[in-house]
Amino acid sequence: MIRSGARAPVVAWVASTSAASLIVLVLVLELGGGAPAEPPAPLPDPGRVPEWATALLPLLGWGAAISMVGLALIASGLFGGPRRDAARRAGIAAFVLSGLALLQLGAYAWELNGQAPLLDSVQARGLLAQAIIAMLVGLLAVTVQSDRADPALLMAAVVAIVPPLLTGHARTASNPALTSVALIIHAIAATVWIGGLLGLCWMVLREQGQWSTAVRRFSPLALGCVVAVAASGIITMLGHLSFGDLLTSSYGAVIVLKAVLLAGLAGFGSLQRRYVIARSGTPRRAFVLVAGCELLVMALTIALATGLAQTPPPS
Amino acid sequence: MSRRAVLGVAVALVVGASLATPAPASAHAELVSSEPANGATLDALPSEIVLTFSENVGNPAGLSVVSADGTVLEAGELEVIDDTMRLPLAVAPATPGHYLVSYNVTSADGHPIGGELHFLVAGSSGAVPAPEVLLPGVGGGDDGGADAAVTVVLAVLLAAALAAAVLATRRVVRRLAIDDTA
Repeated sequence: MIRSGARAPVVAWVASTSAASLIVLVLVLELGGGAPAEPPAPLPDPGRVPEWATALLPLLGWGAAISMVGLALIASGLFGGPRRDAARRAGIAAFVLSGLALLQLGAYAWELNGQAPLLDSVQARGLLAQAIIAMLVGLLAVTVQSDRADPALLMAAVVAIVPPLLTGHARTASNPALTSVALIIHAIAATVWIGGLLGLCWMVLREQGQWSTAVRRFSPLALGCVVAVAASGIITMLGHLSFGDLLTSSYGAVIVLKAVLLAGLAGFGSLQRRYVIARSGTPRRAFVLVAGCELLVMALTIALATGLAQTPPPS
Repeated sequence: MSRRAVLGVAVALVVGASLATPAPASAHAELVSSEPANGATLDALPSEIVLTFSENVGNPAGLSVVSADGTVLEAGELEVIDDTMRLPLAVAPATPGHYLVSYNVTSADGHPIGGELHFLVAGSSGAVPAPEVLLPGVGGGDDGGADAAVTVVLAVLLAAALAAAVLATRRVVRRLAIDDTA
């Protein structure tokens, strides 16, 4: 548990960050042309409810997936800390992710309205695969309470984020294989980075474990993730558009904004390295403040990414 | 390896991969051809509507034909196979006038695409309303375009806000760092 005194600001932070990400996602969908729209009158219309559910649920899914991977990272013992408690909570996050994937599948079935078998769709199969893998991660976490199972838990948690990545824009990229691999690296690096930071914040706020050691050990991993995110992001981008389309398409505009946010994150990261990690005492409040700012910007970036995945790329 | 060497190798890999990536051909599926063709003039109603796309498409999908007086033509079961949508039409007397074909279908990446086309069944009747009058305001989807100036302004504003946030945080963090470690 988080200390009771620290709970109110954490709750306020989570609420405002979630609201801001949701607003950003809706804006990207509305402005970028990915928002659900009413089809011409004679065509079958499932209504806007399942379509908006399909559009917004992935944002919640990413929240659950990042929590799951971050807590599994703490559970793996790479940074020390309360491993058993982290594993148990990673399991809960995995069950939430599994449930969200099933909800998305339900919304998709609603849209399909019996027109074709649900699992004929690659997207539906991807979601089902994610639901099953996440369910296994959850079961592994809550049944096998052993430090020795934790590396497997981390691996399975990372694998759980992959299936839906393979059924989206990467399929229609100019080079689907290269773009898919780059996208997988992009998503895994971002998830490990954001999830790891989230896990550290959880450790710091509950004042357990050697969190200052953990922050020092996490720092080089975070730096590696930043480089991987930027490099794989550029390669993924080139599968959909050339540099010339960056400014003149909504798809490109969202990528430009993502790049700016990434630069901002690098700025916050350098504060963390200079003023927190470099100090011998590892100032706790300074770490929490900077990490809070970083996680807010990260949440906005995830909202942009979720919107981007639904914005039509320029042809 | 030194840090600089690692960075150099990383940059070289990215540049290499970028150069090896061919320019994008086409993103979403697009309508390539239709039977009857858009704007065609026919002697009688066709027995089926066939739309062919640039890549495989799937469900959810819909296709309908509306006549000039707004009635939806009777049709058989819609087939979506590979890159083709096929809708058999019930045999009907050739009522002269404009007919509007609307479709939506799911691209390989799971996203909906849609559009419309029209054809004319020739006849003696002179007063044939244009298809625009039939279904006003039916959009063919967003082309995803953006104004370069807007993109640049947005990016600059966001960058300025982030820079201000980083600098403000730095001031607070320096003080906190001194307080907490002193």
